[in-house]
Amino acid sequence: MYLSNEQERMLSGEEGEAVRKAMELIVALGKIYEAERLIPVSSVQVSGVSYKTIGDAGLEFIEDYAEMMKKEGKKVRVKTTMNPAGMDIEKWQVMGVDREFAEKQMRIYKAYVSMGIEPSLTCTPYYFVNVPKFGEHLAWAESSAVSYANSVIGARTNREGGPSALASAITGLTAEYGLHLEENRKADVVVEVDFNPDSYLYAALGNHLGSLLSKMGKKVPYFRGIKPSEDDMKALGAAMAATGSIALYHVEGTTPEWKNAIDDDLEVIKVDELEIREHIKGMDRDCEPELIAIGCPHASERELRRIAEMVKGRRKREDKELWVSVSRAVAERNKDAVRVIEDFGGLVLRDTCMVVSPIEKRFRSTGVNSGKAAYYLPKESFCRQCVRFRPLEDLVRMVIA
Amino acid sequence: MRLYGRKISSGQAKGDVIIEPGAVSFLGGIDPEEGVVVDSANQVSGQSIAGKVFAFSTGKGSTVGSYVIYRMKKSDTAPVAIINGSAETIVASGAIISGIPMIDRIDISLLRNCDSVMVNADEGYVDIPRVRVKDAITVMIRKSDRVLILKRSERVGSCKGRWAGVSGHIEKGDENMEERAMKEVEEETKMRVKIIRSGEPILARDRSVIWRIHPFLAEAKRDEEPEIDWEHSKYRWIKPEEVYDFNTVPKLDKVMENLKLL
Repeated sequence: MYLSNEQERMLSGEEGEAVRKAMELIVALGKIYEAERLIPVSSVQVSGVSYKTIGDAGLEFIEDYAEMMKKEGKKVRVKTTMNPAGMDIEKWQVMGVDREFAEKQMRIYKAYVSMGIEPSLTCTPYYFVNVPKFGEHLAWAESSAVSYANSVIGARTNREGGPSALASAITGLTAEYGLHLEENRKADVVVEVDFNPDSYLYAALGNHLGSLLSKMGKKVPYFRGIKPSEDDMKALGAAMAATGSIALYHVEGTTPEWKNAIDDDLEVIKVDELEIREHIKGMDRDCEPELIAIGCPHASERELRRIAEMVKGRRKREDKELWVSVSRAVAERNKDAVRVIEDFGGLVLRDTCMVVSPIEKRFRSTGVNSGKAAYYLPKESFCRQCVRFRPLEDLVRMVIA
Repeated sequence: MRLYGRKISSGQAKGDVIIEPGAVSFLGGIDPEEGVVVDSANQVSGQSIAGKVFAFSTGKGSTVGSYVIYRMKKSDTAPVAIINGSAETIVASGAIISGIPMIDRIDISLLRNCDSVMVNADEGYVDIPRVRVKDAITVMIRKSDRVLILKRSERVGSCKGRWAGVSGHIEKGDENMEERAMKEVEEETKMRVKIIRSGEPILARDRSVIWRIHPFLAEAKRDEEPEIDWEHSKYRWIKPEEVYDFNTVPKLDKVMENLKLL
C-alpha cells in the first residue's frame, strides 16, 4: 500500500501515540482489504456510544484514548458526529434509567466530547447536523446511516466499526477499498417489487430482504417497481442493514446512482405483497405492548409531525407509554410538535432510542413500526422484548385513551 | 521453522500456542475476567487463552469484541499474541488498540497446542524453534482422466491405512527432486513414468516435523498398472474430485490443487 511522507510520519509516531495507533489501525484494515492507498474523508460518524452496547470494556477504552489525546493535545481532524447514547442525557430519570448506568453513560459522552466530537447523539446525522454531499468519501459507523449516506445521498462509506471510525476521525483518513471504489457500487441482484408498499411494508420488506440477500451472498440490490419517499428509504435501508449487512442499494428512477448501477445481466428476484404479509407474521408477535416506541432510526420532521397530528388534543392511556426518538436537531426545529406529543403524555426522547437504551429493565413488550427495531428488540442477550410490529397509525391508536 | 504471514498489529511476543480451528467471537465467546473461552461452538471451550499465543481461523460476531480484547489486555487476561488464518476488522481493531502483536495469513494447521513460539509481527513471521523442516516428494500419476492413489499399509511408519500419492523423503545431498520422484515411482509401483509438471510446495505438520512436500504430476502409459509392495495394501484410479471421499494423508487435496488437478 502506498503511503505519503506525511502518512508515514503519522504511522511512525512523530505526531504522538494517539495518531500512531489510529494510523496503524487504518493501515492494517487497508492491508486486510487490499487497498492501494489512503484517502481523506470529509466526515465521520462514530458508533460505540451507548453504555448498554459497549459496556465497561468500551468505556475503559474510550476514556483511555481521550486521556491520551488530551495529553498529546490532539483533537479529531474532521467533522465528527456521534451515535445515540443509552439515554436522553437530560431526561434519563423520566425514562427509568438507573444512576449507575447514567453515570457511566455520561463518562463515555464526555470522553467523546473532549476529543472534539460533536454531541449530536443521533443515528440520523444526515438530518441537519452532518449532511454529506454526493460523491464525498466518509468513514461512518452506524449501519442505517451508512445505508442512507450511500444509497439515498450517493456519498461513499464502508460500514465502519467503533474503533475504525474513531481512527478515521483522528487521522482524517480511511483506506480506499469496498464502497469507496466505483466497481464495488454496482448492483449484484435485481429485486422486482410488484406492489406498492406503504412505509410499514417498506420496513417489513427490508427486514425480509436483508436476511434473504445475505443468504444468497448478494450485497447490492437494485430495486425495480417502487417509488419510495426519503422516509421509506430510511426504513428500508435500516432494516436491510440490520438483518443482512446491506450497506448500499439502488432504486430505479429514484436513488442518485441508479443509472450506472447495472453492468451485466443480473439475477432477478421477485417479491409480492403476499410474501411480505407472510413474513410479517414472524415479526409481529401476539402480545399487548406496554411501550409504543417510534423513531428507529430517529424520526424525521415529517414523522414527528405526523405523530403530533394524530395525538393532538387526545389523552394517553395510563397503562401504556409512548416514546418518540428524535435527534436534538430535529426536536429543536419542531418545538410545536414536540409540545403537542408531550402534552398528550408521550415522551419525546433526544439522544437515544428503544434499541440502545436499557428498556428491558422496565418493559417486556414493545410496539414498533421499524424493521430494524423488530430485529434487535426480541434478542435474549439484548432487549428481551415481545414485539408487536404494526403500522404507525395502529401503534398510536393503541396508546390513545 | 519460520512461517511467514502478514503483519496486522505491531510488536513481538513469546508464548505457548493454543489453537482454535474455528472462528472466534470475543463478545460473548470469551469471558474477559478470566480469559477463558466460553463459546461451546469452539473446540477450546473451557480453556484459558490468557498469556498464550492464540491461533484461530478468523474473528466473528459483534464489533464490541474489539473493546473486549482491550479490556482483557488491561486485566492481564489477554493473549500475548494473536495468529489468524485470515484477519477481519473486529479482532484486528482489538489487537491494534490493545497493543497485542498480531499476524495473519498463517496456516494454523501447522501449529500444535503447546508449541512454544515467537511471534514477530513487525517482520510478519512466527518461529517454532523445536520443529524441523524435512523435504518430501509426492507424485500423482495420471492416466487419461484418472489419477492413482494408494492405500498405505499397516507396516509403514506414518499415516497407516490412509490414501496417498507415491511419496518419499528427500535426504540431504539427494539427487534432484524430479529424478528422485521418478525413482520413487519405479521403486513403489514398478511403473516407468514421465514427469509432466511440478507444483508449489505444501507444508504439513507431523509431530515435531513440518514436511515440505514437493508435488509432481506424472503421466502413465495407457495399459500400465502398478505393482505394489509391502508399503501399500491397495490402489485405485480415481477422478480427481473423488479425492474428498477418501481418508487421505493430510493435504493430498492441496497437492492436487497445486498440480491443477482440482
